[in-house]
Amino acid sequence: MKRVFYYSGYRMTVLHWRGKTFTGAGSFEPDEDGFEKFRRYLLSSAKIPTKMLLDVIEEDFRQDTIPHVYGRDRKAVISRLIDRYYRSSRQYTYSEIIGRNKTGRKDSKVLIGAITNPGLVMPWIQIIDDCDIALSGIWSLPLLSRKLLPYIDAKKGAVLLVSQQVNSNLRQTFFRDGKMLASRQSIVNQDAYDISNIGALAAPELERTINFLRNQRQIGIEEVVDVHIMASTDQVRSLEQMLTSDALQSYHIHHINDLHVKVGIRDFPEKFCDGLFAKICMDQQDITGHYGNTSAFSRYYYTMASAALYTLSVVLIITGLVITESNITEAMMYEGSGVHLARREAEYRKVYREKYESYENVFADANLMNSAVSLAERIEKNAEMSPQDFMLELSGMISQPQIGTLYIDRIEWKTQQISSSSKRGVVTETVSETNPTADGKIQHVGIVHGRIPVVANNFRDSVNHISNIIRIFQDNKRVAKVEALELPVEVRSDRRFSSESGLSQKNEKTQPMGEFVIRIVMNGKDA
Amino acid sequence: MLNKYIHPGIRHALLAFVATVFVVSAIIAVSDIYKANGEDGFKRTETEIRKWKNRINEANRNNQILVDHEDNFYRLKDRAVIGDENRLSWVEVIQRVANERGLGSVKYSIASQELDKHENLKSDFAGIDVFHSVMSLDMKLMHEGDFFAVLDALKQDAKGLFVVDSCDIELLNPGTVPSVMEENIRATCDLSWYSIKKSERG
Repeated sequence: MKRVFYYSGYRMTVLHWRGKTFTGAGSFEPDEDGFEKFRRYLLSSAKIPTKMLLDVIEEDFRQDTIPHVYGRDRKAVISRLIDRYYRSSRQYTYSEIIGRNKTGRKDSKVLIGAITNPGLVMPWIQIIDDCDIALSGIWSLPLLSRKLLPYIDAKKGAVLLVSQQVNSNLRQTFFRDGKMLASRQSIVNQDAYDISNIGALAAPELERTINFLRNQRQIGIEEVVDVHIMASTDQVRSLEQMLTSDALQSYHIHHINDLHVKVGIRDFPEKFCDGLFAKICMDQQDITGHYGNTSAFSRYYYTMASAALYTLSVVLIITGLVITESNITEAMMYEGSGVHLARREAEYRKVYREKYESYENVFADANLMNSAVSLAERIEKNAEMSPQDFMLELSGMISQPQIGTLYIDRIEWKTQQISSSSKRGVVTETVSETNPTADGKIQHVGIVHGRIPVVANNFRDSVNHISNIIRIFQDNKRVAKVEALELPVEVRSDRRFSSESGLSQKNEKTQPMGEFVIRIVMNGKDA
Repeated sequence: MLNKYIHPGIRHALLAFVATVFVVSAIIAVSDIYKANGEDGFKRTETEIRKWKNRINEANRNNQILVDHEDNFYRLKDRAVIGDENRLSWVEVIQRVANERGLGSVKYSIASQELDKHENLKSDFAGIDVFHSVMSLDMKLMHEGDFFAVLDALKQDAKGLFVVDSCDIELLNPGTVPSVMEENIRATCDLSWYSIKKSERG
């Protein structure tokens, strides 16, 4: 349920709505009895925040110009202006920048308005406050009436909006391009029960207002003013008879019922426009109204904050419930899965105990057995590097006929091992003593001591012979390296060489033998 | 205190909100603990399952190792490669070959057994110790074939696994023609006999 306090300058009317539907109204007279009834009503009704709509004859508007400034400066200038014109109305004043002068300093045009006699509305506000009702804003009907312009297609040009909220008054509000510039309320002595003669009463008032506006230069001398009149069915004929459009005035009469439909009002009596404006006021989303300072609405703000906190609490509870529900669901899921897993675990345990547990001691040595066998196999493989292999290969080489006469006196045999290591992609090979437990390539290293026949004074033959032997060794695919440690004829630069030449040597009958020592590095059979 | 600082218009809502925050927080915390306990239990059970699965897999793997290596293991054990060395067997083989081939002189000595301390053993073959005993042979032979016969006999018949470390074979009288019955070759060799045992150092 929603409601609006509608104050017409004399009595207070409370209009009740449920959605778009008007559900009822109550009026309270401005006397002791009326105040008391209003108080009792407020105390007995729901404490819902309520807007107040003012439509009083004591509301005055005027335009002025101020220097074109912003922010605090603008506020200060306007404040001084309001002080000058409406000193006693402080809380019930309104200001709005409505444009700028087109010439000169291009000052800002400002519309200021005020309830010139706030004492009229104060008792009602006091009762509202006493009853702990949150007043959510005080709205001015003429200022609010601009919201009606889109519904009557009157947003452009000079528009005079004419409406009647009570039978004794006629509200005329002037707009230019949708901005309110002036408003006045005329008193019309209309019968309370017969409102069909409004045409005769309204026509002179409208003429007076338009003349005033033309004299004020708010409407050009030859400018056409669109007069939009909202009227009930009973009033239309009278208005149509009395108001005739001419070159300067164009009259448009709107049925209140039609506007009710456009604005979205159901079940409101058609007689006047109070319901129309009350509904527009009720639908305002602005948190501040036209009149009253912040402190006047503190109860409303606290109510709003309170509602927000309650809402937040509800959201929190819902969130908490969702999270809790999620946690509980997950926990139950874990528990359910846990039971299933526990069953599987028990099965695994049972299988292990039945099939494997009794062999644990045996299994404990399996890795050792694996290691021992692997190691023994490695040693066995490395043990295949034997002197027999080297000697057989050597025998094969020296049996070749092109090797010439050659005697082997001694062979010193051992092995060496090559281990590879890789660092940053570079492979390095290191030669070391053989470790049969390691996994490196093993090579034969044989130092062969031998002799070849040497012809005296013909060292070249000896050199060629030993070179031939070395070449034959080197040509063997398994031989990795051949190194001459000692030669029969030592002609290498880093060695000492001595001999004798002469006739005595030529007469020597026995053929001398030249000894050599060669070191051979040979790969294994599988390399 | 509360009345002094909090406007009556908002007091109840604020109290309700604060109470809601506490209650909701508490409920969420309790449900979170409940969930965490459930999750812990679930994960514990998962870990247990993994443990038993791994133990079964490990047992199967060990069983396979036993199946694969059992024959080799016992063959090596029978050859005294795994377990204690059998020096008597080595000596007996040398004596037998010397007698059979009528070798003039075969001297041999066996040094005391030593633990192999190569670094690679610790990483590649943890849990086992490798020992080796160095046997030195000094033989005077008529023909190099006798030398091969001794090494072959040791390899084939002696209980153990040896690696020839080094050999020095030389003619005793180079440049002369030996008589048929004269030992003309001297061969000296160092052989390392290896034996493998379960480490007693843990």
